[in-house]
Amino acid sequence: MKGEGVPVFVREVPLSAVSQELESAWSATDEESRRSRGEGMLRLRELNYVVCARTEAEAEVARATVGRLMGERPGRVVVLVDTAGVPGGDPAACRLQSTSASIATRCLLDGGSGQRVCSEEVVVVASGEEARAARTAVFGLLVPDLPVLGRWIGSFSADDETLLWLGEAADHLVVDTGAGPADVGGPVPGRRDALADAIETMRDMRVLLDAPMRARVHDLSWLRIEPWRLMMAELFDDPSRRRLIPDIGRLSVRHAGASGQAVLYAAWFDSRLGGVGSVSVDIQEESRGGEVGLVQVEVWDRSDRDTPQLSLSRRPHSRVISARVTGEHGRGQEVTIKTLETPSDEEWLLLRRALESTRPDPVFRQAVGLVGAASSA
Amino acid sequence: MGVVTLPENPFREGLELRRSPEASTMVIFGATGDLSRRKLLPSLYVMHRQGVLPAGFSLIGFARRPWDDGEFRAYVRESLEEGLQEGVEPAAWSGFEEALFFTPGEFDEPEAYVGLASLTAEIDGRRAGTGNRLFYLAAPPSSYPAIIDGLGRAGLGGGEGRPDVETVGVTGAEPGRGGWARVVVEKPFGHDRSSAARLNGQLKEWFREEQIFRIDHYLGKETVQNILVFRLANGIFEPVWNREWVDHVQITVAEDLGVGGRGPYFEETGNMRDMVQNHVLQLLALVAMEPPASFEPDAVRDERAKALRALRPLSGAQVDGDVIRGQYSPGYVGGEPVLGYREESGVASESDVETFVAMRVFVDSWRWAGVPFYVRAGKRMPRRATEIAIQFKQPPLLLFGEGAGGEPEPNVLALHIQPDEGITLKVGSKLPGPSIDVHPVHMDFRYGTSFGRRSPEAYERLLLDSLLGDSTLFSREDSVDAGWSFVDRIRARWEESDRSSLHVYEAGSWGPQAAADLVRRDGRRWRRL
Repeated sequence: MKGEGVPVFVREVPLSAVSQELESAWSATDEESRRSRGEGMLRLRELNYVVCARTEAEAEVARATVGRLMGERPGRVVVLVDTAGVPGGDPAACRLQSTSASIATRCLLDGGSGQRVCSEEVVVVASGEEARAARTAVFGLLVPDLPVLGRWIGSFSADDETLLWLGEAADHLVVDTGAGPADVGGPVPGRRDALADAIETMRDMRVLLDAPMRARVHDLSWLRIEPWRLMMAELFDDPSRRRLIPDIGRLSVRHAGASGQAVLYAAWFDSRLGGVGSVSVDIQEESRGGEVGLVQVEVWDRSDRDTPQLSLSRRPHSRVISARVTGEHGRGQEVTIKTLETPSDEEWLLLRRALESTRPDPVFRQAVGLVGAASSA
Repeated sequence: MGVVTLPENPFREGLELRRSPEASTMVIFGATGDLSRRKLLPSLYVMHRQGVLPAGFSLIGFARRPWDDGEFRAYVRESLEEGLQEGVEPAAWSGFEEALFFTPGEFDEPEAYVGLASLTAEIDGRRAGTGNRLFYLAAPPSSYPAIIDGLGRAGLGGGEGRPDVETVGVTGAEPGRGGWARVVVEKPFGHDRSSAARLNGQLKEWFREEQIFRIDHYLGKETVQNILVFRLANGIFEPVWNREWVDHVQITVAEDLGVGGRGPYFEETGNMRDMVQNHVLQLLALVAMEPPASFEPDAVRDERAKALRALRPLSGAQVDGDVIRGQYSPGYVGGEPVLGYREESGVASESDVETFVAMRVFVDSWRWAGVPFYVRAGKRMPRRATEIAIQFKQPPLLLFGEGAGGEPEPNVLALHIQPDEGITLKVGSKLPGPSIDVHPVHMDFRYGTSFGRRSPEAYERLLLDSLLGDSTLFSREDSVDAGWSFVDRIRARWEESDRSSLHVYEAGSWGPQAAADLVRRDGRRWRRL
């Protein structure tokens, strides 16, 4: 199934009547399906999605993202809009605006069977009610015995009560350490505070990872740098290059508007070499005409040579990463040994990756723990 | 001097689900053939695009055509454009293209292997530097002995080799780096037990067993791999996976196609050798085998081989009763008229080669004693479908028999191998209403929709495993031998019996009436697929 799904039925209903109204919505959707297609629809729910956003605009983007994912993993979506920190908004987080909600059913055509497959969405815009009421309402809206994916939109603070609640309500909690104010505004070359913000965010992440929660915490920035980690790992699959590891002295990371990814990558690299400050790290930002993400990674040995031993670089305006080595097999020049078009990092695909992970990721934890130490730009 | 052990790659930690083989050079013999064009080249390209192939990987095509690298690259590109629905991405292609090389040669020409050894060494030194080589025999089986011998004599085998033969090639590995050599052998692995033993013997002259990868692409399919996961990773199935609870097992491998352009090949093989000896028996072994002690390759292969050795041999009159062989006559498939087997190109007008086999077999193990396994495999069936169905016994007391719509249908666990990979469990449920009517309902799981991602092609998985040196999904010598041993007895009976044992069935049907009778006489029926 592809796409975001066509809303078949949309209605504003009292919050207390959501479950009951959803049944009416399903009857109406089924009737409509029989009328227009001559057959009923298949109602599928295999997941609960709970999205917390700060503004309705953010919520709209998040809904579209989740909608893409629902094409593959149909479920019930509950969206709460958190107006805390927004000028003119309610200072409390994830509170209910009113006792009403918007419910919708969305249908897609299954390519294989040609059957109409439908899922459902409940949107609650927050403000004006007590946070406790909001949480209670969300608990009541979750389909029992199905996994819960919690998506926190925007920057976060590890002591945010609602975030911690979401971490307890969900099985997977997805945040983005690259969504801090410094990176969200786009790349501004030379800006120093972006790095500081990123490091600060990682501290919050460290606290969040240690918080006693049910959910496994995922970071979209960590998932975004996975192709870069894979490429680096692949270079060191070659035993002859592993012999060079003790001589690694410096790591250089260039990024475009992705300080969070850069510090995380540097910390991961450092952690793989065994610890705090085992290499010196140089992080630089450059403007790439609106592109965001890592741009280049270079690994230098401790000698005073003027070329890196290994480098990974992304071609402008593409997802193609090239791996280069210098001075191997008796040749002095730099040689490209692998070029790879990395998979798309659209958010819905990253959410899918998060859902597929079945084990805690100790490497992520180690990297986050080392962020401050490794990111001495 | 002590052995220096290199540390594991620290950057791999946490990425263990993405396995990555070492850099290597792969050689495909028969690189311009049908298998290569339709399966191997597209699979390798997809693996490259997904980043599964290692940096420094190279592919050398070896075939008779007098091509250079450029012509081979153009051929590969054309094959990919033709075979891949999503087409070829320019960025991915440029990286893949750099890794493609070609060397022309006759399979029985020793100099060609010396040239291949030099080329491999040169490419390896330039791109990988590991000395690792994978040889893929995708050529006609009749050329296997020449290729194996050519590789061995050119010093490309990597094993001890024959003490009586001085190898003439160059090893290609950098001093002190060694590297591995593996050989992948496509089916059919021999045409009977003795020819398979002969082929094994030829391989063993130059390669050790752990270097030999006998491929059966059915084992690379997701659902086939899932049989063991399903059985052993869920607490609820294994306790009932035995004679106490299972009434019988049905295995169907149905093709809607006829022999097409493979008439001459099929005349030499027949369905028993082409499908049953390998695919069907491997599926049966996965269902019947005992849980292995670990998921190490030899632990799994030990159990598969034991299951095959436990097959009750059929010979003499037992074959007449428990094995049905059929041949399709003209008919309709998918509404289109199709030829009968004897009208197909390259087929003798009086041919008695079977295009269909149905059997009742027993696995004489503690677990399966007395449980029949009904197996059918045929061409020109109404549709393409491969399935394993475990039919469970009825409950001991049929509480809802009277006035409940008759005897409830038994529970069936169906493992769909192709085309729509998935698993279905049929259970009985009360029909809504005032009376107790039990109706079957299906709990359905489909790979295509449940995980929202494409399953890798069987060849992608098996190529990766051969590059990694993981032989779990490949057949070992003893399994091949057990399979041929079982099949040869049946074929021997056919050869001594007259033509009347061949049942004709109409193309587009589910086989001859005798196949239906085979199951019916036990009070059962084939599943409708």
